[in-house]
Amino acid sequence: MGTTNLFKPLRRGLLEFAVLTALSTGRHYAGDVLERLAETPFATQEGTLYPLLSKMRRDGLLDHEWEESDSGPPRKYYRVTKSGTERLVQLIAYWRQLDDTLTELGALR
Amino acid sequence: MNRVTLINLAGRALYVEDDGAEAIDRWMEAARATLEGDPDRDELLADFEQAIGDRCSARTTGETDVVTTPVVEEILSALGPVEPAGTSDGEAVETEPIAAAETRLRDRQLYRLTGEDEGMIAGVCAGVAAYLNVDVTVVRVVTVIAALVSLGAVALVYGAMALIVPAASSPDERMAVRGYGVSAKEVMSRARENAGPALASVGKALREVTHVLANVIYWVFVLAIWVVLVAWVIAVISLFVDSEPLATAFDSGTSTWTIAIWVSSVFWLVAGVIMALAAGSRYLAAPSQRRNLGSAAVAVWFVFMTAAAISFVTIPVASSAQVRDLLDGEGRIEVFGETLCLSLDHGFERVRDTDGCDHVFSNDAAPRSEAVGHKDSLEVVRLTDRIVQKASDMPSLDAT
Repeated sequence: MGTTNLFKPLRRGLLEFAVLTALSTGRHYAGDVLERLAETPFATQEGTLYPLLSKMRRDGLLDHEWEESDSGPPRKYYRVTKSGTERLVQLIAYWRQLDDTLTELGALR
Repeated sequence: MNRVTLINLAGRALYVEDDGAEAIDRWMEAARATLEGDPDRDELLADFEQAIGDRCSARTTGETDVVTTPVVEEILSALGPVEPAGTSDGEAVETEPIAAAETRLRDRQLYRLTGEDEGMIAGVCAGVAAYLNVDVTVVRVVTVIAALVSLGAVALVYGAMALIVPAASSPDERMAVRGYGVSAKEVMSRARENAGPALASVGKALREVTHVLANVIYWVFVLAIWVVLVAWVIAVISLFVDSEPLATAFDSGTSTWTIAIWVSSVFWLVAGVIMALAAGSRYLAAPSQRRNLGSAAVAVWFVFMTAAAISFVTIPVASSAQVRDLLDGEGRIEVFGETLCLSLDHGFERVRDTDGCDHVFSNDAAPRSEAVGHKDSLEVVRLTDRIVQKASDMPSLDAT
């Protein structure tokens, strides 16, 4: 429990990275993203994910469309936009750079 | 006894115990307060309402089933507290360490795209479409047509590519197909090179030399491909202007179209081999992190598609121009009073008579001793028995 809370800010900062990665395979609705992240350290809840998705959409990283569903009202399906893809590439590159820097410093040897 | 309220959650009517309904109200009010100032607040609240409704109806068995207060509390705690996502001025991600110049487009790399919304079979067409920046439907239609026309050869190429071309397994590779952004691998290797020990410099110099050499060879091959293409165009044009020089290598009487197909086949075979060699040298020329056999596969694919297109166009043109006009509905033609049948194993423009003699239709204007008949500008040439007839003895096909 100690580490879970200790690294919470770190995970929260990386949640956008995780969400972009989860969405990068195609079109998904919010429930898919929750499910994909559920078994990872990035496991999150609607209360956190929904505001993040809507913010990422305002930032132009995501796009959404409504689609009828078999049960209940229509669902919102999200996909990564071109600028979202660019952001993801930058994040990946930056992540590797951080990893490399820590390796050079000796932390990951 | 618990009272029950009928509530409406995003268009879904649900029976909820009074305490549960109040808990939902409180949760929504808290969410409304937390999202104060969020431009999408109303939309988000509707989304939450829908999420609660979805979860509630998943826990009930029928229309009149009641959602109890403990279930509501469980659902609300699963949704978690609402956390605002911060400002939307794009500050959430710090991208400064990567210079703007490094986020430019990079060399594309071919991968198969096997994601949900991408490939249908092995993702080859989706990968090629992304690589060439073409609509995937176009690539699929062209591939299916080419597979039919080439009698399955393109399908074999597809199978080979499905085995050879790696599937994109990460977002980074997915982007590499489209040539988006800086390669994470490049950033990494650049950092390594900067900090690399001096010992590695000899190996590095050797690699540099190999890269430069391979690059030179690659451009020689590229030049060779263009030379072959120009030579092919000149050869085909000259064939129709004056067929003598090229025609001497063939049987007398072989039609210009047949020669054109043969010449084209040879040229395209040569071009294909050079293309494969060029792709190979390009593979060696690329820095090791950027090596990808995909470009060689694209070259092979291109050659097969072109060959299929050429055979598709030239064979019907050649046959229709030479023979079809002369044949009756059942593929027969009457010459000298005897009926000759189209013999496919002798090619489109040869026919065999009942004595087993081959006849060739040629639009070659050069006089030939074997010529035994003519129709319009076409001569009928008897090949096997080589009977020499005087020109005046030649029966006209129109007369029979």
